[in-house]
Amino acid sequence: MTTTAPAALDVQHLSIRYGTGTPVVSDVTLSVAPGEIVGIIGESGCGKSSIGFALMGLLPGTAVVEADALGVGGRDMADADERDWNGVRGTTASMIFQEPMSALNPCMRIGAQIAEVLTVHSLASKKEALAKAVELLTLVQVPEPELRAQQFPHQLSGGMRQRVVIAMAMAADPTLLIADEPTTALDVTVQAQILDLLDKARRETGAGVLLISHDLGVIAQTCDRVVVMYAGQIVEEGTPSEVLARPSHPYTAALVDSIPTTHTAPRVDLPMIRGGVTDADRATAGCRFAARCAFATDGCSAPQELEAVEEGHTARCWRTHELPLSRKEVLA
Amino acid sequence: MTRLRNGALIAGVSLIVFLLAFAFIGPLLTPYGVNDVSDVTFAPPTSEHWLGTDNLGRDMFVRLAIATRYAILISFASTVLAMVAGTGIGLIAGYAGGRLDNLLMRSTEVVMAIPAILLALVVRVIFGPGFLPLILAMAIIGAPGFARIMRSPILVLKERDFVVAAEIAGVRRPRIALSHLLPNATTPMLVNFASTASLAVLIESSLSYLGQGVQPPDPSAGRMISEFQRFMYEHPTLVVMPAVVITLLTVAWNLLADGVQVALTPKAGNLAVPTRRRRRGPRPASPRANAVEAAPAEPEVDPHDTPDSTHDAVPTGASSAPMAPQGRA
Repeated sequence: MTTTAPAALDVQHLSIRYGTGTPVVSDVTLSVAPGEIVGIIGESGCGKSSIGFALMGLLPGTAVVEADALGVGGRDMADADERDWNGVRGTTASMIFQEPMSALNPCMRIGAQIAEVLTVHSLASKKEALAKAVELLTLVQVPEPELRAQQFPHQLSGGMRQRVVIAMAMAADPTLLIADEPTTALDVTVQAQILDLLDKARRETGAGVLLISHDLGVIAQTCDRVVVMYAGQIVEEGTPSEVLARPSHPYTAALVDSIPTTHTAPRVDLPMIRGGVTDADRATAGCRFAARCAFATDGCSAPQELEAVEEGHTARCWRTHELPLSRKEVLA
Repeated sequence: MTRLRNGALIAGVSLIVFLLAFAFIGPLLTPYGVNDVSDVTFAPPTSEHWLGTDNLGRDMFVRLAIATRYAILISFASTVLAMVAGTGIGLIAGYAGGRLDNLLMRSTEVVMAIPAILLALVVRVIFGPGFLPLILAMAIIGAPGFARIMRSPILVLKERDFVVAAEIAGVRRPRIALSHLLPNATTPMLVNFASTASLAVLIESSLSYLGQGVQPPDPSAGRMISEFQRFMYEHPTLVVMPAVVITLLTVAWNLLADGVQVALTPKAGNLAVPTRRRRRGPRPASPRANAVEAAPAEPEVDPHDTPDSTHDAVPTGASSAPMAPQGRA
C-alpha cells in the first residue's frame, strides 16, 4: 500500500499498544496536507504523544504499532525497519520538543548543533552547514544570528532556545514537522511569537505541521484543522472555528466550557470535567467518554463511529444532534 | 559562597609544576649522570651533592629527579590509557544497555575484585619486565573505575531530549556517543583521572619495592626504599627522601582531583564562550572571577539538574486491564 499522494502525513487506522495491554491509541485516521497545520488536542494520557513518536518510529521496543497505512512524507512506513526510519528522520520528518533546554546539547555551540543535522545527511559541507545555520537562525528571527551561532544554549533565553530547536527541525527542509507541545514550557507572550513562527515556517517551506497540544488557545490560534482525542480515540474533527464554536461531542463541549472567558463570573468555580481516563474506559466497546459524560444514556454502551455533523466536521457521538451542547463563541 | 579561592587546584597545580621542574630541569643543574658511580659513598648533603650520595656513590639528587620523572610519566601514561579504555567501555555499556552493558560491567567487576597489586604482578609475569607491561598493568587496574564512573551519567544523558533529537535527526550512534554524550560527562572523568593517577603512583612504587616495577639500573622511589632499608639506621635520609617524593606526588594528584572537581562543578558556567558583556580584562573584581561561583545566569542550566521532560512524552507503562483491543483491523 505505498501511497504516492503528496500528503505530508497520511495515517490510516493506526493502533498502538504496549505489550498486551489496552491500546493507548486505537483506530486513528489522520492526514496532514503540505503547508497545513493540524492540531491534536486532548488531555494527558489520551495518546497524543504516542502518535507523535510513532510517526518518527521512536516508540520503545515494547510498543506494538498497527496501521493500514503510515504515510510519512509520501513514504509508507507501516512495515518500516530501523534503516528505513533513518532515511526519514530528520530529512522527511522532524520533531520539535516541548522543553527547549533539554532539547539542546549544553556542551555544543548553537551553530554546530544546527549544522550537524545538515552534515549528517551529507546535505552540505561543514562550512556550508555553518553558514546555513546562521541563515536558519535569521529565518527563525533570532537577533544577532552570527553571535548566537557561536554561543552555548545556556546563554539564550527560553524563547530563543525554542527558536533554535525549530531552526534545527527545519534545517533539512522536512515535509512533515511534528511539534509536541512546542509552547508549553514558554510564557504566554513568547508562546504567540513561536506559534507565529511555526505558521510562517510552514508557509515558506510548505511543510505540513502536526501540532500536539493540550491548550485550546494554541490550537484555535494556529491550526487549519483540529483533531480532538479522548482515551486513544478521535472523538471529533473539523476546523477550529467549527469544532470550538459548535462542538458536537460532549467531551469537546465540556473542554470548551471549561475555558475561562471575560464573561466568566468572578469568584465562581470554573466548570470542569470530573474524573479521569481509566484503563476500563480505553477498553470499553462503547463510548469511552460515557463514564464522565453528563448526557450518557444506556445507548452509549454501543460502539460509536465517527460521523459527519456537517461538511468536514465529524464527531463520535450518536446523540450529537439531540444534545444541547454549548454554542458560545469563545474563541474566534 | 562568595569569592572562594580554589585552594586545592592552586596547590595541586603548583605542586605538580614543582615536581615536573624537579624531574625534568633538576638533572640539568648538576654535572652527575644518573648512574655515575663514585668513591664518595653515603655523603651527607653538600654543595657538591645536594642531597648526598648512596651506597655506590651515586648522586641522590639526580637519581631522585629521574625517579620522579619515571613516576610521573608512568602514572600519567597508564592513567591516560585507563581513561581511554575505561571511558570507552562505560560509554558503550551505558549507551547500548541490555546484554552488552551487562557483559561489560560484569567484566569490570571481575577485574575490580582482584587485588590491584596481585593483578599487576600477574600482568608483569605474563608480559615480562619493561615499561610497557608496567603501564599496561596499571591501565588494566585503573580502567574499571573509569568505566563505572562514565556509565552512570550516560544512563541519564541518553534519555535527554537532545540525544533523542540527534537520533531523530539521523545522527549515527557512534557520533552521538562522542559528540553528545561524552562532552556532557567529562567532569567525573577528569576528577577520576587525577585520583587514578595518584593511585598509579602508589602502585608503581609498591611494585618497584617488590622488584617488579622499574628495573635497575633505572632509579625508582619504591626500589630505593627497598634497597636502602638496610642502611636505614645509619643513613635514614636515603629512605626518607624517596618516601617524600612518593608522598608529594600522591598528594599533588589528589589535590588536583579535588581542585578539578570544585572548578568544574557549575558545569556550564566556566566554558570559554564569547559573550557580549565584558568578560575579558582584569577579572578579580567581578563576582564571576572564580570558577567556583561562576554559576550560570539561569538556574536551570545545569545539565544534570534539569528535570527530565521526556518521561511523560515517551510512554512506557503498559496498562493492566485484560480487555481485548477493539480496533478495526
